[in-house]
Amino acid sequence: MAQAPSILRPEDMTRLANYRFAVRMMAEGWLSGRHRARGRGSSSDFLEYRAYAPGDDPRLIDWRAFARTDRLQLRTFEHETHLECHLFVDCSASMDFRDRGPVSKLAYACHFAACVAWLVVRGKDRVSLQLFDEQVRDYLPPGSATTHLNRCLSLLENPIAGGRTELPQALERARGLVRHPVTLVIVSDFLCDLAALQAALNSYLHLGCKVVLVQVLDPGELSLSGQGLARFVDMESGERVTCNPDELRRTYTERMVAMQQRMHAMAAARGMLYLPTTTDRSFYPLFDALAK
Amino acid sequence: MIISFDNPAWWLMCAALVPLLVHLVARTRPVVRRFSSVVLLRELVRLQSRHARPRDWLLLVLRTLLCASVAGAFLLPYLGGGADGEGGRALLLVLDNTASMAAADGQQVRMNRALSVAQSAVQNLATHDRVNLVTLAGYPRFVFDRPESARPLILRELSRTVSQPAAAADAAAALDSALAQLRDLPDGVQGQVLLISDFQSSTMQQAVEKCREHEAFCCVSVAQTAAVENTAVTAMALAPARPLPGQTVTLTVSLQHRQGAVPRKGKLPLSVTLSAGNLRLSQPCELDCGGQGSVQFELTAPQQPGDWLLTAQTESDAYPGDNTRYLVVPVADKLDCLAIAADRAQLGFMLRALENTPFLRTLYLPSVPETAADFVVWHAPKAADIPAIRERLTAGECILIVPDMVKDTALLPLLCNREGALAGEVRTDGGNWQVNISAPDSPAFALFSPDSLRTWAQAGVYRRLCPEPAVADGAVTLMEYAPAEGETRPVPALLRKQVGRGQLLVWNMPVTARDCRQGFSPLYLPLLAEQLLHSRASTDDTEPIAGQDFLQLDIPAGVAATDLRLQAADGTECPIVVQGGMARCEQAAMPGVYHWLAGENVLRTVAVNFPSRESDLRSFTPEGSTYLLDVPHAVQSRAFAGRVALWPALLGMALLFYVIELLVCRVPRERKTANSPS
Repeated sequence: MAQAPSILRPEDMTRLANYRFAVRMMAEGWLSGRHRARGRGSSSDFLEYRAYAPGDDPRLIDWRAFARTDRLQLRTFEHETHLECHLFVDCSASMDFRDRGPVSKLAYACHFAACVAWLVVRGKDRVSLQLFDEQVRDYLPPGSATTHLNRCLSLLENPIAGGRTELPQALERARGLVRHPVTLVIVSDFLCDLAALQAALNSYLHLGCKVVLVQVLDPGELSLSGQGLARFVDMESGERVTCNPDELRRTYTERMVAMQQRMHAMAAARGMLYLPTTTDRSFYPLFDALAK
Repeated sequence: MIISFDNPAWWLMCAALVPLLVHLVARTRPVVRRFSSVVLLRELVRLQSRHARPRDWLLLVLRTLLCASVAGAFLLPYLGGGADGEGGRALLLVLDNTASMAAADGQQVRMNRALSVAQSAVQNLATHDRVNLVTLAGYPRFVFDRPESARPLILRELSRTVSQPAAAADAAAALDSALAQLRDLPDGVQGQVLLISDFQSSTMQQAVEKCREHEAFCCVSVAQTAAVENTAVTAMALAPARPLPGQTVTLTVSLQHRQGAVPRKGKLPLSVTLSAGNLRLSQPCELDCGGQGSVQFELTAPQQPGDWLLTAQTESDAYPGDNTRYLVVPVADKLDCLAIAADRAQLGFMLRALENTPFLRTLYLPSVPETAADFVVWHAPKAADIPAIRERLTAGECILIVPDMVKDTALLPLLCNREGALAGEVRTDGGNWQVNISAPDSPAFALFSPDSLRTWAQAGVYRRLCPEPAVADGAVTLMEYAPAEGETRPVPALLRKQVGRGQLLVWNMPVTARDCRQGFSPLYLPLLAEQLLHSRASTDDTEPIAGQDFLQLDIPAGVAATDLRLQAADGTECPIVVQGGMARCEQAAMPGVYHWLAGENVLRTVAVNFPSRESDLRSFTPEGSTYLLDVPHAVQSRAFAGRVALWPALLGMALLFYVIELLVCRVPRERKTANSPS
């Protein structure tokens, strides 16, 4: 493998060597690969029976079942397929926030995304990358070559935060780039309207995409750090709010926890994987969750 | 009911702004922090302010009310009380602040007692009552043209009032004006004049007697004893009045001792210290207790012309203001003399003698000039000249009148204050009238040897004025004609009379060779010279009156008005105003020595002495006067009748506000939201 850009450190690769990017849901690719797909396939693993429809391959009819039930039923098998992972990295201005964490949210997200990309390519799978704020800023189509990985890492190495967080719109715009079920890994702070996000993800879910929501927050965002009167300036809109964090901290923390709980509930309801993290924590446990 | 306030310190109500000021001053500047998204914060702030803002406003209002209540309690508010009639009361305080009020009478200075009485009288009036203040030192000074509802201003004025080293110019007029203000009060207003004084017999008796009958007139005496023992330097007189440089002069310092409530007997040993430039003389003397005395100093006038300051001082006593006295003597190398006659020949040899006198600057004039002089020789004045003569005498000039030997119209009005003419008479029998020296001990004859006087007297006179009955009271006949047959009383030949500050001399002898042998005689020249030099003794009566007169100066030629200054002896600059070639001090003169300066040059020195009549510290008790201690009590009981003090209620309200504030503060600022975890 060619030498990786500096965003991916040797210790990362050493540590990630034991991981395998396998989302707990099965992948569905169009090339044969190492991942199980839920569609019909040619492997030896039986999947299910289904009724015959005109146009189906007659070779797949289970004649024994026809003899027993007098119905034409197709016997389907799982088939091994490749994994296509679409990485969505939020590059809006809010991702540039850093308070109590060692790095900004964007740096953390890019580092994580680089690791995921490396892991995917290392597994001979295809990865695509989209950097977005209110629109798709950079897009790399799926690929599994080392050069493709290097391009991904180069993009992730020096991202520039800017623009507003418009994740639903970005997802809708990127919808045309996804034509078959893939794995979506969305890395963002998700400081947006959850209902709109859910609506935007619906089309992906209907397509059969596996969606992983990785929420990156700064510890200061969770507990509203600071003391005394402060004037908070929104990094995206420039809006100003003057308040005393000491007086709001408790309610704010409660609201943030509630927001994470809502996201978790939404993800669980729609079969998505929700992985919250903060910039002061290592992201390797996320890979544990991804590998389950 | 009307809420009134005892304490006029309205500025205390500014304390109500303290919470607001604390809020504004202690407001911290917010720290600007960039944050990922303020959407949630904005929502929380909106929720919080919906709950916290009314609470903050409530706290601010409570704290403001708390401070306002405490401040209001300090203003001592009350409901009702104090008004005797529909229109309230009017109090006219006539406060004696003359010099005698500075006497330490008993254990307290009279003025302090008077001020405490006046303040308590004013403080205990109701707010809407009217009050006015009159002070008597110098000229009467009214604070208002009529009584006003302005207790705070009167109290402030009282706090600034001190005893002035001056006498009352016209206490009776002040009391009349005060009573007149009472008469002008609106209907329904009950007025009263409260005279607070030590009732000095020499100054107040006549004034009080006039007002005593008035029912609204009330006297409060602050004198604790009927008399205070006092020794004073009452006068200083220098003879001659205007010495020539180097001339030997005699200074007479008059002293007086006044008995206290317990008379002393025997002699009172004293010493008088005289300061004259660098010279300092001290002379002991013994004064009869309750009597007068004088001490004389022989001095030599300074060699340089100018103002000569003499200061006489005795030992200080309980009333030290009158133990020092000043006299400013002008020392000139020549004295100004005016010779006024319609025709120069009428003055004959007299004019020639005057012009040859070395210490005189003689100027002949055919008519009356406006310029002042030390001496005026006036030949045959008419009745029309009498006002000018009187004015000059009042100004202190010495005027020698040579009357019209035929028919004179000026002597009777001048000497006897009545209209009339005197006819002259001529000795036609070939003889003459002999002149006798009627006052041989007079210093006017000190330079004459007895022989020369006899020769001069025997020369005789052919013409004289028949002065019957022209001899006025108070006039001194220095020479007189020997009574002729049929004459019952001698005819004066040379008269001297003190008029005002000046001296009037009547030379009832012709001065021309045609009418009189005296015209040929040079003997009258030393007589005249000595008379001119010693005729007038200086006294400090001519000096400005303390507290009444304003020092002024005719600006000399060549002196710029901008360079002119008036400086007291202690170096204090006095404000002056220049108008029409005259500089005038804006304040009434107080005892002391003042210098008119042009740059660094002293133009003139002026002394203002303590008013002599204020030295008499005998007091009288006016009939029906209120006892001193009764005044505050009477005013207070009247003023507080029917009053309801509100300050306890205000303090209670302040306490209530404080408790409410504590309760509000105990309510937690944050409220659980609907999304809060249970």
